[in-house]
Amino acid sequence: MLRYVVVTLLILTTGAALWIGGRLSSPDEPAATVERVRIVERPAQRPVVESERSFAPVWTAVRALGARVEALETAPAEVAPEADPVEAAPFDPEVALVEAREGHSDALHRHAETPFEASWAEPAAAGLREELGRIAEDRTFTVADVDCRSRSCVVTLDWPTYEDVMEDAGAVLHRTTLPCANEAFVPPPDDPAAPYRTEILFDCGG
Amino acid sequence: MNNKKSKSPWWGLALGAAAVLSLVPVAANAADARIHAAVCDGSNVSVGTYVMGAAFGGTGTAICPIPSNTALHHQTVDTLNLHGYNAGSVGARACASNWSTYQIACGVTKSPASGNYALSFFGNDLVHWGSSKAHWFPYVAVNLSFASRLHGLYIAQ
Repeated sequence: MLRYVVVTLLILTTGAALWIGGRLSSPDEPAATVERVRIVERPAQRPVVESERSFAPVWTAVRALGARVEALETAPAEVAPEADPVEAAPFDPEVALVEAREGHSDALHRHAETPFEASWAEPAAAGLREELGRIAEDRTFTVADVDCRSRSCVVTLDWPTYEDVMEDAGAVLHRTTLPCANEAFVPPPDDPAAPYRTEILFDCGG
Repeated sequence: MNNKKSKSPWWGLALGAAAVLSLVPVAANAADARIHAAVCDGSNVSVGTYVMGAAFGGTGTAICPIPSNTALHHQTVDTLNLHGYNAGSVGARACASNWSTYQIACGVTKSPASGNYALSFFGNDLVHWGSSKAHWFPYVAVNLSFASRLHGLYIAQ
């Protein structure tokens, strides 16, 4: 019901405005609506009677308004956003955990297979030990091992509990200054209160 | 007909402008973003109009999240710039954390000279923002000595 009232009001308002506009416009300052009417006054075309001149554009406008109202009323209230193709990929935390574990294991395995190059490995290991010792001063971990080869190092750290790892592992990755990318994988243990050992990879091959 | 003649210049101008605009080459569909340092958080840093190292004689670490969306996804970012002031030491690296488990990966740390700095990361510096970590959440870790500052970050593809 409301729709018909709105449409009727729009029709009446538009018609009145166009009619008044047509009446008030002078030949020197034509309104846009009048200009459209004048196009049909060209000699080559059929002469237009006064009634057509007044109401043809009105009915055109009314039909356009009606179609617009109809479209607005039938449009869905909300359009669902398109899914990000990356985010739309199926997520399975268990699968992700297995993949992360395998990826980290593969990286450690690749490191273990690289030859030992003393000229690079020894100063790198000494630098890492010194730096980790400094970071550990206000942390809870201890350095169990630093194993450097030719272009990578693996650092083994021990924490009192898993909660301590969650607090400190970021600091190890963020604050070491050896020019290497680094990566830590810290999966949740069966016993969160038990001591926790982690291997952090430093990849200096870039 | 005089009326039509008097309006013609406007239509002519409009058509002319449209024709000129159609000839202007369209800019490449690149995206970039500027990120205020106030979005950062961390330890031993004060966050306000900028992030400042607040550990006297020590180092604070700011963690700055990087926006990543369909318009500018982190795997397409090839430039990262950090702007600030180095009062002693500044070191930063581009990192990402796994979406489902505790796994962090960071690129090589980079440090600017003292004073005002614009520290740029590109290529292998952004190795952990690549396609293999498209689902991860990117961030930048910035170590700041006392009074060193980070004003903001800039990313572009």
